[in-house]
Amino acid sequence: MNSKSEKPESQSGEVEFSNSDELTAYLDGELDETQTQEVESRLGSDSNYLAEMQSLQKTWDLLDTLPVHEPGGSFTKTTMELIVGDAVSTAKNRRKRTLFFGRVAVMALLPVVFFATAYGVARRMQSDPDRRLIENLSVIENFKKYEAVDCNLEFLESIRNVDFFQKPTVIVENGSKIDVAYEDDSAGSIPIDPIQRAGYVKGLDVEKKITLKEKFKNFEDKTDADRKRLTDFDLELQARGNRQQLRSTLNGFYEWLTELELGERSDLQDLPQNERIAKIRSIRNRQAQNELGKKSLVKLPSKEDVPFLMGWCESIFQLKERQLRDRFPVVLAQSMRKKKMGSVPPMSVLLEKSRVENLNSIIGFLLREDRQFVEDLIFEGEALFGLYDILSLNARKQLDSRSEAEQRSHILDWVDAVNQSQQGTSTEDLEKFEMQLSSKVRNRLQKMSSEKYRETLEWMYEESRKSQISSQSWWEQQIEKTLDPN
Amino acid sequence: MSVSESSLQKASKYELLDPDVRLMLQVREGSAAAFEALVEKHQKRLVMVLEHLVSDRTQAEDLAQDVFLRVYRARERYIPTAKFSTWLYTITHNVASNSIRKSSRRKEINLVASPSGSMPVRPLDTMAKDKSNLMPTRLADQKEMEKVIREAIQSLGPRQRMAMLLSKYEGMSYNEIAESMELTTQAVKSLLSRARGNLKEALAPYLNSGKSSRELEREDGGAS
Repeated sequence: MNSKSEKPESQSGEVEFSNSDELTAYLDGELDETQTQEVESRLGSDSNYLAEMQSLQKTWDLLDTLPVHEPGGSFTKTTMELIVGDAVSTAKNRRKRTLFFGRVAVMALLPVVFFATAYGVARRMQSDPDRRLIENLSVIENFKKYEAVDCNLEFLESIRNVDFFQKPTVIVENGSKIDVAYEDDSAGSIPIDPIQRAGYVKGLDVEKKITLKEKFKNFEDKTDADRKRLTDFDLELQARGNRQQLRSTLNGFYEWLTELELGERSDLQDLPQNERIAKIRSIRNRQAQNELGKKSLVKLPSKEDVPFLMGWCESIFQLKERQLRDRFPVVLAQSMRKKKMGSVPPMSVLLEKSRVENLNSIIGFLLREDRQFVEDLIFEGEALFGLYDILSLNARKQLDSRSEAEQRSHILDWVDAVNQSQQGTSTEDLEKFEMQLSSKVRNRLQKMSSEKYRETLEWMYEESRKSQISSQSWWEQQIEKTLDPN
Repeated sequence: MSVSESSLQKASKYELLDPDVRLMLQVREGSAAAFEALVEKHQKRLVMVLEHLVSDRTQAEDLAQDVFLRVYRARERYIPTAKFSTWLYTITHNVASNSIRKSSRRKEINLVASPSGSMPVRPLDTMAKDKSNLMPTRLADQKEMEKVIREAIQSLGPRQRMAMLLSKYEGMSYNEIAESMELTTQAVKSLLSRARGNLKEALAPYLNSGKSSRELEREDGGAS
């Protein structure tokens, strides 16, 4: 006999279950006869166990109250049309093979003919513009990127050699499995087969479909010569053995370019190729050096909530300081490797940096580089209860109107904003200040290590604010002194 | 190469037992009508399962079409080694996982889709409502009840959700779920147990009274 606290034993040697596993398996009819009897016997003698089972069953029954909607009326029809399209594509491929394997292909075509006659010929489904869109899909999706490199493969190869823009592979956790995947490569994922392309277009979400149509319209508005140039470039790129790396470089470069300020972007585009590459290198260096201090603009909640929010953030920061400081050197090393910011210092140096670095800088850095970690850390335990208790009804309403993921993201933005407000000089201010310096001073600065660079620039900025210094020669002297105190 | 003897035995077994397997074998031979019958038969539950997985009706329909397209493309290689629905939901699981992965790669932070498959025990909105003393009678309205249940399902990790949906709405056994999701039976047991436990916790306020939402609604109406 089993006492109430004992786990039932399976005479069949099956795996033993915990109470919850056991009850779930019992309710799902997955226990063998002996196990079922044991559970039922315990249900008769253990009221808590019985209540647990009833509660699980009631929850399960509650799911039956959800209505099941019928898919749209045309679901079957459109699905079958999709299938016909696919069948026709297969037929085309097979038709080629008829040159060699005539009889076999005729047999293989029979089911396709059946599909086609049953549901109409797929070509009729595609109007001319649709066909043009599908035929030129790769160019339409990418022509802006192609224009960014002037449809010039040599230039693209040059920036690939600079090695700044290639996206590294990423690790994607998929349940218990770990998959290695490339960064999303929209051009690479466009199928070559036209009918599969039609499926690809159909599979896009609404927002992407609208964007694609806009791109298509822009592409159609181009002159014949421009369209041909873009199409030729697409084909040429596609024919390259290293197309994947080139596309990755192209994507990275384009993304980077669009984030530049308009003036800087057009200046860059106007430069001859060699100078352009030198300029790209210089801008990338500057950005990499500034990376640690980059800031974003986030709107805080209403005034009445700000002091409470700041208090909450401070207590959370203090509470989690050790974990934040422990994480910092790891992410910093990863980030330096990823951004190719020179050789990564030994861990002892990074640990020392983590020890002395301002906590707000660390939080700001982790919010940019490992937001998920900060999110998990902040929202673990009962922290959110505390925040909900102190926020005003308005702020709570603001959060309640969002999904859970959005709520957490929104609160993280607040945390980011509070953190920024507690930090020193903003990078935007520093960048503006740097632009006012002479090229000689800027060159000296850019040769410094990122840490030294930031420190010096901040010092110069503060000095200039205090003393209203604007003489470039004075700065040049100071910089020389800083670099060589003797 | 020829298939193994045990595969052939399995094939004839499933052909005998599962009418959908017989339909799929007709599709393999080129029958459009058989394929249409399979689409008609499975579309409703397939879309529902996908809707719970990706939380978007339109996207769910698009993904369901993708699933059927993959079924069609695989027709020539089709050998029945399991029930048709097990195979169908293996494809569904892959399609949905890819879609969820793509979404998360686009940095749409989705906490319910945490890789560990664990769930936040108390959804934030539930906590907020707890605190504002609005529960449970105010939510007795059926529409709101549906919303609460959907949110509770959404709060499960993707694998818990998939296992739960296959068990609840497809009536699959643990072995079939394990096959569909490419997991061990023991892992499915554990997933389902956690899924049930998490749902129970998320829906606890509606169970504690021991009354259904309709009863709560009636009471609410009577009181006013």
